[in-house]
Amino acid sequence: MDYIHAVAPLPIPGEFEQLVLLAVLRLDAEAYGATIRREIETRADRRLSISAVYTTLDRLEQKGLVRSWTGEPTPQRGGRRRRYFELTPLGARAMKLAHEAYVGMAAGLEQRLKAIR
Amino acid sequence: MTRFMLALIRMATPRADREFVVGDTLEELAHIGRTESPAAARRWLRGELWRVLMAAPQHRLTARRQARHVVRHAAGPQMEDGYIRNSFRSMALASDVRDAWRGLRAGRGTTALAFAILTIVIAAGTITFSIVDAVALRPLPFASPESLVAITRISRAGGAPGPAAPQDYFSWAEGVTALESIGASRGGAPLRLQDDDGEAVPTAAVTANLFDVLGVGAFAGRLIGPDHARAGQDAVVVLSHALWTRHFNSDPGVIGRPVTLLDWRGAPATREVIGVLPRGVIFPMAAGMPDPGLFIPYVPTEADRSHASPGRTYAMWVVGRLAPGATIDQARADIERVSASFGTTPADIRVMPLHERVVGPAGSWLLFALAAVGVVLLIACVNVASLLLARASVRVRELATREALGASRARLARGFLLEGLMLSLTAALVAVALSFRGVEIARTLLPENLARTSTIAVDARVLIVSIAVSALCGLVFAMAPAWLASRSNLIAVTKAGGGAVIGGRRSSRTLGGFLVAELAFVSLLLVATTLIVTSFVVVTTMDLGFDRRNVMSIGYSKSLQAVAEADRPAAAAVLRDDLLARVRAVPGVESAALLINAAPLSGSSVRYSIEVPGFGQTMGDDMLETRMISPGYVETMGQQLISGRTFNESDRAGAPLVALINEAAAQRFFGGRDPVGEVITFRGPTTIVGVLRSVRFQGPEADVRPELYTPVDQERIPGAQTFGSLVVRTAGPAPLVATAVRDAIRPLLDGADPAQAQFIDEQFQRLTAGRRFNASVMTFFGLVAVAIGAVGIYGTMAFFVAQQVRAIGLRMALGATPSRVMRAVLRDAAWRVLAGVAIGLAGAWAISNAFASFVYGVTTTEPRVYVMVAGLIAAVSLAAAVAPALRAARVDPLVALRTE
Repeated sequence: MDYIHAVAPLPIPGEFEQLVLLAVLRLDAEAYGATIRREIETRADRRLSISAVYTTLDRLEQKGLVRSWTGEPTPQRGGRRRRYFELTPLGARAMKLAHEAYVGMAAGLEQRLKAIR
Repeated sequence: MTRFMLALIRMATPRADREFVVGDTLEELAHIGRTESPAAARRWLRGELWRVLMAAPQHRLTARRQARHVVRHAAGPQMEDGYIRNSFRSMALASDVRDAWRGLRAGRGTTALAFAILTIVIAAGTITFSIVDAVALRPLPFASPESLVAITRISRAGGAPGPAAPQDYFSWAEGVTALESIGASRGGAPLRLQDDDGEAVPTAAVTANLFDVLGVGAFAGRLIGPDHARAGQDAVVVLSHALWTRHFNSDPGVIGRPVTLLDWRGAPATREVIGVLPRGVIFPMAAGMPDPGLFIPYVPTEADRSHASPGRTYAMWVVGRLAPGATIDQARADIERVSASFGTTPADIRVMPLHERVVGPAGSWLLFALAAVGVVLLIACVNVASLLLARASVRVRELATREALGASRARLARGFLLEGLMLSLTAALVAVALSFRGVEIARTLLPENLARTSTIAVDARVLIVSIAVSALCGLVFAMAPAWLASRSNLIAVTKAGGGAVIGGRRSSRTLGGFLVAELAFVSLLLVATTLIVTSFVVVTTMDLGFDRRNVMSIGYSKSLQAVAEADRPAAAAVLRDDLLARVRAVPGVESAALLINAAPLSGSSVRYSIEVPGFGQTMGDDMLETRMISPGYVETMGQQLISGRTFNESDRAGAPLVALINEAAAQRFFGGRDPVGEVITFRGPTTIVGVLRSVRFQGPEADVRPELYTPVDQERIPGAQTFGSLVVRTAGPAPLVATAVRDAIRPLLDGADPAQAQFIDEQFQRLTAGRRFNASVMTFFGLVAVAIGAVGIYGTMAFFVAQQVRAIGLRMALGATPSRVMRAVLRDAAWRVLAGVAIGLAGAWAISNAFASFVYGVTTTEPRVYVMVAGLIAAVSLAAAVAPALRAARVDPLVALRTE
């Protein structure tokens, strides 16, 4: 597996995909549609729909950056199941690279960025 | 609403994610409801739906692409034949849908315009229909509602059916046999819930059997029954579904819990909540009364049962259920027989199906509004049809190519139908989303003469009608281009060269016909609008015979029990003088006077008969509206004295009896001669000292009646109670001074509260609210229709010009001047406009009888209305045709011909 990853170019997540990946990472075992949406709304102040979260997660899953499994049905959801997500090793690596790139580019600019109104 | 929004979200979500998305949405809804508030949760869900719908087309496309990818790769030979065929078929439909979507996107301008028109019209239609449906069309939410009969009292000739007295009810309940059972609900002052914001909730006291008569069961808990009709057992309350949802968050745990209710004085009383009524079930559903939210047991007093008791409170809304086999006519005869036994004549009683009482006269008006919406919808359909036809005509190359590649005519036609359907259904979806909010807004604007307004909602029934009508419209307006596509020889047309269009002359003729039809409908609607708006203006600007602005009346009463009987008239006179002196001293008061009996526009009426020499006793319709007034009343009300004098301080008790009459009375009883100085008999020989202009007491649309005024101090105040109303004219708006006036007189009434001030202008607004609403609705429809009509003319004429560019270029090359070209285009437009307007006006004239009952102060065939409508449409049409005409005039012959 790792061999393939080494030769195939690492998919670079887009900006919104990064938000979703970070939310999944942060939520750990509790990462599913509703919690991910809430996390992004409260932390990044973005209004987004649950189904937009799923569209992105479906795409990330196709790229091999996340994987999902289905939980047990619960009564508060009218007997519907939850779909939980976690980062694949590939996803974690992609996120790390994206983060490093971001931090590297932003280094030393913190004061100036903060000063912008 | 919540369920509907969830269903929409579900529909807009790719199938694979549905379970999770809906589950998450439910969970989040509960989470926000818990951590913030139910209102916040609903708000979030609305936003969520909006975001989902906005993103839906992309989602669906992505999902479909993925699905197709899977099908194409998975559908190997191991699949069964049927599966493959089916998937091919669904792929053909899918590709048709995609083509239709592309088609719509390619003509973005046209699509956006058609979409906007359809959305506005469908939203207007959905809102109107939901109101009409809830108020007028829907059967009453009771068991076998057709056998329910309303028994009402008529308080005045031509008046609306109103509530009866408790005495009436008990006599009917005992004596009437054609009715299986009779129940009643008594309206009272609202009660306030003590728990939070102190919301005042309209309350009804119901007889123990009312819910049985109506055949209603509890939604939760139980309802008021025979056990609760006894004093001591009556501390219970049933909630309406609406109140339970709104105030108690649909909490089933509220049943069995005590609630504290404050009456109008603020005195608390605790009642146990025993049940909740089903959704939409309320009684009395009376026009002009807010729907009750609280139902408490009615506990009659001894006086309520006795016809001997001196007072009557008309507040009982009575309903009966016909005995098996009995007809309403039998019930009516029976009720009249029983009523005669306590001295009530049939003229005072009205027995009718409950549905008729609930819907009332507003029903026909609502149906009229619905018809108007129908016409607007027709206009929109014709308009969208011509937009699509025009665009289809220029898509000839695309169509010919597809035909050459083997697409059947049917397939091409189907494409157009699909486009129409997609357009109308998307518009319907957005329109429905808008109408949820629109209905809330519309509900607050509704006039008060509608019943059941609390049940107005965009529900499944409304949705089905709205979506079905939209789908039908979509098919209808796509019919024209589809028909053309299936008939024309596309390949030949393409060979003929670049400027040609499908059908050529045929499509122009159809388009021209559409334009004429559209303008005909617009003119028809505008005639109705103009008539209704004119009626509104007539009614609201009418001279009522007094000045309704900045006047209020405040009722007072005081017990004279402590005063010896012989001194009571003098004590009452002193009180009246004191009251006036105090009120006149309040800053902002211009003048004040006293009045006994109803104030103008208050809706009540008191009549007496008099004896006139040479005429006799004035009976029946000749009874006079009678008021006792103090000096200064005529001036305070802004009434006009025509001859003689008004009352003055010397018209006191003991002085010769005097009276004022109005013009109508002078005309009727004295045949036009000046009655000043004549002596009539009203509680003794009374000299007429003056004549006043007639007043429209019951409102602008009521006839003037004979009136009689006598001095308040010459009135024999009977009994131990003195009462009356202060009428106060203020310098500024009366509501600003009302509290000060009431505070000023309270000490004179031994601290008893004077009645709430009645603002006469407010009463006037209430009386004319129906007309105002009608006028604004029709104005809105009229404006929409004119706007759509203008778009239609512009679009069609622009299309004609584009189509004839070569011909115009040729003519210009042969020496035609731009102004001649322009005139030719305008003339072309003018003919069509003329034809459309002529047909529309003729149609309006032909059906003008149908408007008659909605119109006041103008005849439905008033020529000026028709001329005005024709003028307006001509002006708008001309303006809309100018741009295409200018474009025609600017055609460069060289450019136009070179494209050949």
